[in-house]
Amino acid sequence: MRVNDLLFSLLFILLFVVAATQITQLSEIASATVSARLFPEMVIGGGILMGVIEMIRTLVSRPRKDAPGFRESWKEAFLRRRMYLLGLFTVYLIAITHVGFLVATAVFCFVTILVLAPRIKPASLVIALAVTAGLLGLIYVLLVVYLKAFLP
Amino acid sequence: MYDLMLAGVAAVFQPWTLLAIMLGVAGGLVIGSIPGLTSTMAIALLVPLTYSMKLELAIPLLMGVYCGAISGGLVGAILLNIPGTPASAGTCLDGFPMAAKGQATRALGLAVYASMIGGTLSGLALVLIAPLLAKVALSFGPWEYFALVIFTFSCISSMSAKGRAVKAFMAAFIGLGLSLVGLDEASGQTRLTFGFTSLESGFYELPALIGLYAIPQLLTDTDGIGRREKVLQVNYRLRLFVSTFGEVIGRKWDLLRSTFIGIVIGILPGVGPGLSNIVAYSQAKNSSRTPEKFGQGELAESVISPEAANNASMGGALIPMLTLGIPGDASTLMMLGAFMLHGIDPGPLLFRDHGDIVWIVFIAFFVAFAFCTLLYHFFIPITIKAIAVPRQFVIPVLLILCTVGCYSLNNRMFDVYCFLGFGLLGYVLHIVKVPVLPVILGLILGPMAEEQLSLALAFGQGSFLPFLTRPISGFILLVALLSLVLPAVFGWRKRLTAQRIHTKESQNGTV
Repeated sequence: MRVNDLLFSLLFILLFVVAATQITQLSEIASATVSARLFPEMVIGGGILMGVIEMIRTLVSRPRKDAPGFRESWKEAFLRRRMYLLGLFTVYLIAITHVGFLVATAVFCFVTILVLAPRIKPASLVIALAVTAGLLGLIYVLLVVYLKAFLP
Repeated sequence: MYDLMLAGVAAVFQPWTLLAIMLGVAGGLVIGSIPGLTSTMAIALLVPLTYSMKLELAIPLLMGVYCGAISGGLVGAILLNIPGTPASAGTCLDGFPMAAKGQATRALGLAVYASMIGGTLSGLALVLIAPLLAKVALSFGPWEYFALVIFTFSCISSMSAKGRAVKAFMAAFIGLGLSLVGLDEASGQTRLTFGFTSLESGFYELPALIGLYAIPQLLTDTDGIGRREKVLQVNYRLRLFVSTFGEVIGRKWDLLRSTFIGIVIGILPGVGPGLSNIVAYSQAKNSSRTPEKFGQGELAESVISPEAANNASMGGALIPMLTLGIPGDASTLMMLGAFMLHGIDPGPLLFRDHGDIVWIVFIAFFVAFAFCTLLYHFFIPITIKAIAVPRQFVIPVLLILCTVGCYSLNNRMFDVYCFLGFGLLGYVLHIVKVPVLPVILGLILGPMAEEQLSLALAFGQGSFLPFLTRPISGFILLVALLSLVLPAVFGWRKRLTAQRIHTKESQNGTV
């Protein structure tokens, strides 16, 4: 975790420094009793201070033996099923604006169930179809008919 | 006050409202019983869908889900040894061994009745304490409110796991930083938009909240797909289940102590049922005459204590949310989002201006617990089935419902993309072990902190001194400072003592 912590602190400080460059461009209003920059500067200053403290703390402290290493934690982050789900969901969101909500949802729901399933059996195809149809029906009845909401 | 109470009763005891609470409780029980799906997730799913509902219907529905989902966690804890929600982590310790001995119905009965009594007592505390605190809070100025925000962050930081206090603060600063994005109403200037016009209105809280919680959780839930979890066989008998009520009442001191612990921990900002059940369990063990029997699934109090405490936290957590607008835990944070979605700002003025809504919350809380108790008698077989539903069917459905919910808030895809973006941020934070709750608190409390700071400085002609000289504000800041310093001092003393003992032992060994 030591490398992770250091990388996180570095990225954190970097982001806050970038934010600081934007905040300094804010102009003061003469009539205002309180500076428009005060709170943002407090947040950004405090953030950078915390980032530096965390970095020093990580460097000074002894690494814990039970903590997962850099490689293990990122290997876990990129586990196959997690990435499939994330990829499919991103494609789904993009597809909504191109093919419409109902089509994109039907395809996403059906495909995701099959992709995530440990083994594809004929029964899982039927269940996936049933879940997809049931969900679309539920969304339509609940949101469009009952709650009068708009679909994407 | 009685008029408002009667108005609350009249609003809740409408057929549709009662049905909404019952459906909310039933849905919450099922979602809460599925390991990995928390009460926060259940409320997150529902909040956007309540947008077009009347507040008088939406709030009771959400209260039903809140109560049902926290209580639902006990089924997974007892039958799978996996807590359905973090609130039931302490229940696993003795609930599962008890069920493994063939006493699953007894374990479930003890947990259900303890939950209901703990929850109902915390509801009474909510009704008694919240109006009093609201009255006190009416005298608060911007100095006190700003101090309260500082206290909230210090609380979260001091309650964080070992070595993660600074990380919790960093997370809070991420949230505060994100709250700055958009148009600054006071100066009319845009901040941190980097030229993107869609960022000018800032981040809407709910897609951010839902994304930060739901996406990391659903991604990590995929790890459990295909894993065969052994669900204990239950020969459910209603008569035996009901008979455990007497056993729960017989442990009144454990029940009262755990309820008290739950309420107090619930009131602390940012800490909720997840901690209270563990603390109550360890307190029950410390005060037991037979502590060696804890963990063996023999003693009723070892199941009663954590369950009474986690449900008692719910009433406790609602107290700061309703009276100060500061959420007690992640689920009440979602509830806060729901209130804001309907144009209601929780705080002391809520009690003055919308007393009827406050009473709807109170009455719905009690009714939800009554439904929870009632439904549990018949829902146990259904919840046992729910915990065995393969995760591959649940995950895409929840993701789609979250997407629809985020879109329906403003009818714009930008909120859906924010949902994904915040989800990715939450996932990265999950990987690097940074708590996500402070981010959300920062995002929600950021605008309040800025407004109160500006007001305080304007009233004090630019002076920071009133923050320290005003008694309540000074006291809150002192408590915040102590909550940060004391754990560090105690930890340092503990390490020093351990080091001394170790040195003495090694010296004795060498002599």
